[in-house]
Amino acid sequence: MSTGIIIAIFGAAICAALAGIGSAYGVQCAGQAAAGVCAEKPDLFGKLLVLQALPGTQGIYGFLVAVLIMVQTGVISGAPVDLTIQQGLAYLFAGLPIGIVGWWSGIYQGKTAAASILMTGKDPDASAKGITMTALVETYAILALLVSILLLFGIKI
Amino acid sequence: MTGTNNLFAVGRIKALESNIIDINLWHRLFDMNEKEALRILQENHYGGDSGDQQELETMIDNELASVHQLIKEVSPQPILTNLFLLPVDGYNLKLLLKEKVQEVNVHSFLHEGGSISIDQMIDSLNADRFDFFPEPIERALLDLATQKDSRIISYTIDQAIYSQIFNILAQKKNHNHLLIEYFKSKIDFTNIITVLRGNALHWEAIRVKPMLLKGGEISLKIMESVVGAEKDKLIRKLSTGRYSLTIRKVLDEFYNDMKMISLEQSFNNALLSIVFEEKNDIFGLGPIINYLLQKEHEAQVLRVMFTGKRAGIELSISELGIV
Amino acid sequence: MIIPMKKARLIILKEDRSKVLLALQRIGEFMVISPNENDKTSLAQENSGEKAQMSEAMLRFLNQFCKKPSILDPRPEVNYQVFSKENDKGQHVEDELLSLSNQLNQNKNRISFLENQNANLEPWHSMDIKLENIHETKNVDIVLGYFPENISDEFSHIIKEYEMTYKLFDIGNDGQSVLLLKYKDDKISWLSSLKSIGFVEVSLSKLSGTPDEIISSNKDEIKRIIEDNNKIMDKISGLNQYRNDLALLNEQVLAQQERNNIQYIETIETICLYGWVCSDKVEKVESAVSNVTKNFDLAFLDPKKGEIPPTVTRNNRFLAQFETITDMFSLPKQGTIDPAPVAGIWYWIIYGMMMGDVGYGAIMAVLFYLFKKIKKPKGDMAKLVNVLYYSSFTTIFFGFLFGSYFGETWHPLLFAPLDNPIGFLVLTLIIGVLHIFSGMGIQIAQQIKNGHILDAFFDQVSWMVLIVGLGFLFLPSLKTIGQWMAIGGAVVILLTAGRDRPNLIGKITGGLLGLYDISSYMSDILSYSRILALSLATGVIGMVMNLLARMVSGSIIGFVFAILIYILGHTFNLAMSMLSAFVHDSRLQYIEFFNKFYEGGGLKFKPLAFHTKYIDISDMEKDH
Repeated sequence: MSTGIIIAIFGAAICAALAGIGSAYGVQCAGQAAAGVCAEKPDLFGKLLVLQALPGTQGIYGFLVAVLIMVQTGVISGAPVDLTIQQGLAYLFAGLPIGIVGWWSGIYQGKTAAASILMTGKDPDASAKGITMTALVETYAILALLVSILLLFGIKI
Repeated sequence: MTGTNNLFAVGRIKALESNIIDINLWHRLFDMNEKEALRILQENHYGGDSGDQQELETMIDNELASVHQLIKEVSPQPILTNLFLLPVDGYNLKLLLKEKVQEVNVHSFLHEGGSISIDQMIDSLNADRFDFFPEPIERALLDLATQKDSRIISYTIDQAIYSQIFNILAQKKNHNHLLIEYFKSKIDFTNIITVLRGNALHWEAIRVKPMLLKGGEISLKIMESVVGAEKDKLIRKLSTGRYSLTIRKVLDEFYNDMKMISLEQSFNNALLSIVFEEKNDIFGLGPIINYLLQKEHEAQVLRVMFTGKRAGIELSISELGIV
Repeated sequence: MIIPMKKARLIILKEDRSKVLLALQRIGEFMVISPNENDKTSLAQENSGEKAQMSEAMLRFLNQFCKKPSILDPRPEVNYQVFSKENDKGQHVEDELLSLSNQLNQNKNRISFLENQNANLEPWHSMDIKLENIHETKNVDIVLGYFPENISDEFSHIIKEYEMTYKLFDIGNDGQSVLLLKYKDDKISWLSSLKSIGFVEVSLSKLSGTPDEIISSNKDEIKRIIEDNNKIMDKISGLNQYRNDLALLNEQVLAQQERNNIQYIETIETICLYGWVCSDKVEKVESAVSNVTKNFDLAFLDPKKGEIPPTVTRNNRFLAQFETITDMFSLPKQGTIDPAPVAGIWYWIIYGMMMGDVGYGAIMAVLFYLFKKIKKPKGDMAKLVNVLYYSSFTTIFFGFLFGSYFGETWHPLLFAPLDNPIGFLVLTLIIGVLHIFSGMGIQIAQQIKNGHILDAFFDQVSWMVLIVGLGFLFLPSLKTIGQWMAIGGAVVILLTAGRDRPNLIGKITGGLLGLYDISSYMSDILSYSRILALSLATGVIGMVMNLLARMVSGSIIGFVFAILIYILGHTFNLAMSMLSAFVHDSRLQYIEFFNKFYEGGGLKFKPLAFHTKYIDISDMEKDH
């Protein structure tokens, strides 16, 4: 294995890991609030579950980019391409947007989701509004995902 | 980290917040006779669902007990939320000390729901084991060992309770601004009420001064300087600090109608609104404390309202302290 | 389309009140307006609420002991004739259940009483004396009681002192049980000295028989009661077959309660009801009333100024389902344009693009079709399910275009997103532009309708020309035209955006600020790139699941794992993708699309109707 491929693997690892951390924190945050509301109003479970799942997407995006890197560099098929250090670094940088933005937006989306969950707890009819508000945070994770993907497809090996 | 359990607690509390009696329901309760109002309370599941015909007092006790139980159960920082139970301890202590002096049985007047259980408190007092209590209270008890004047007992205990509160707040690494602000303002407001009451009764300064509590935002010096002062000087001197506008407004109102009861009410409402403004700080204690205080306020208003209904006294909504 | 509303004034005789209200409730087209605080009356009775609670409570009671109908069971149906009749059977079932539940409660109390008594008698069971015989005699006092076990020394000391005879029995919860005999002599003094060391006196003389006999007869009785309880449970499960009658009763009482809560104005002989009715349902309401009574006066008035009628939208069956998306945001106001038809079509298309997979589309179609058939959802839930059901077809359609089958790429008709992400990105941006333009188009229509033709030109058309021009800049052949279009649009905006400002400086800054809106249009259009991101996410994660499954599927165990990965992985992906697509598609409507023209703020139309929870009423006339 060349140093290049190792750097590329590091890139894949970092975008899955950081975005995963963000989502885990976000979902946990929302989950705490949802559990609290659910303890008093169990019939809201369905509505709360949707809100709790929303901050989970960042982790999926990070995972997605990680897999794309693995596919392009041949790691997943067991025949890694010999990358130069420059190419490896290119993969690392392509993974950074979704890694970093996914991390932070996951946390912030989790907090927004928690707030929306509390709002739903007080007024169950407000859940659609809460979902929209929470989804707005995700925009930036989606933009970062796009940038990561477009960068990936721009790398020539 | 506190932010996490906090959310669970806030979640449960937010779901229950809709149970706080709102202005519409207050108006309805206000217009009804006692029996109807009781029925409405029951329909709104006030005081739990058990029993058909309950006494108001039992309902209030049940409701408050369940609120305290909930706070105890979910509080992410029990040390801090317990601070709000300390005044109950203070109240119980005062009663028990007075019992010793005047040799009357006060046990039926003691309030459950303090941070120290009543039995333990009685036992420790009887055994003179003051070291059972937190340090400032222990010192106060030692000082009061031979004291017979119930007024001195009262303000010494109050002072000790607040010292204990600020001790605990100072020990906490992250300063909890909300709580510090709340208790400081509470001391200020209590002091102002003390001064005004003293003035109204034409007490001498020497009698009022020891009753003033230390630790407020407005310094004791200023407080002492307005004992016996005229309206203008008093308002000018006291309108300082963060809540100068509130204090000015409340004092102006007071000098208009000279009603002690609405003065207390206005200051109480000002205190509630300090916490109320923090009720959406979902990563802090604001919502939890707000709920506790609102429920306690609600209980108090209910008591007054029903006493009024029974005695046939017409109280206006604002006199009851409903905002 | 928003249906105009009429304000109905209905005057009927008092005696016809319940008939007419029932008829109105049946058609569900009459939304009662509560009269002023001063002159309203209603028939609200206190006990109708209680009645509803009672039948509800009995249903819950039944659920405690019997199997609830499963989620998959279809909802029971009754026809209107049955519904409007007195439900003696349901009432009978309710009464029976009530008495059974009371019996159960009594039995429970009796058992705990008997068990308690047994626990008290347990220490005495070796005492072979009938309890009714234990009483003082002429010369002897007999006392039964307990003393704490740890003070037997003090106890025997007192016994000696007063020269008593005693017999010890077993140790129970309250301490050592003891029978004391003493010649009559100063009972108070010896008893109180015993009590001072913790002796407790008990009286068992009200019972008859030896303790052992009583205990065993109590045990027998408990056994009998438990048998009795079993019989009661059997009876309860027997009543489970009449569950629907009870549910029907509950629905009837609730409907009755809703009718009783209607508020109206009353004179001596008549009552007067006001309500909102859709202008195309006027005849229906009239015929419903005339069917039950001849003596009535029904007038339909136009809403006065200042009155805000509720909003009812009617669209064709397909588009009507998508109303739920708009309703979640806010209902349209009377007199504005209903956005649901346009928003609905876009929602449908964009959802398909976001999912874009034949396999997932097919699963969605089957799932939601089955759900509709079996559960027969009602109201908003039905609309939501239909939205997802219809969207499964666009999902399949775009799946063919992108050649995506459970994440695998196979002969795309257009292109595979993974192979040509830039092409897809451009496609999504074009979709975005068209979507936004259609919103602006609605705004143009509204402005023209209100006579503001110039506003439409300055505020909407100019932007559309500018945006199209900017788009043309990317195409070499149209570059020059694009250039001039962009400049032309920008000039119009620069000159007109500040036209409301009073002075020249204001107009110039207004124009510049207006042109600055380009950033918001750009960000709106770029926002549609999320379609690409979500579509890629769905496809790639599906692909990864396939990849993982293939990697492990070498052996038999591996094959089992592979199947598991397929099923779990795709289920997870489908669920998350559907959620994401639902949320982000809604967002594109609410934020990018609606902010171009939509205000919302309408009121909900809540007619007097049957709102059933457990039972459907068939043969209802409905076309709503």
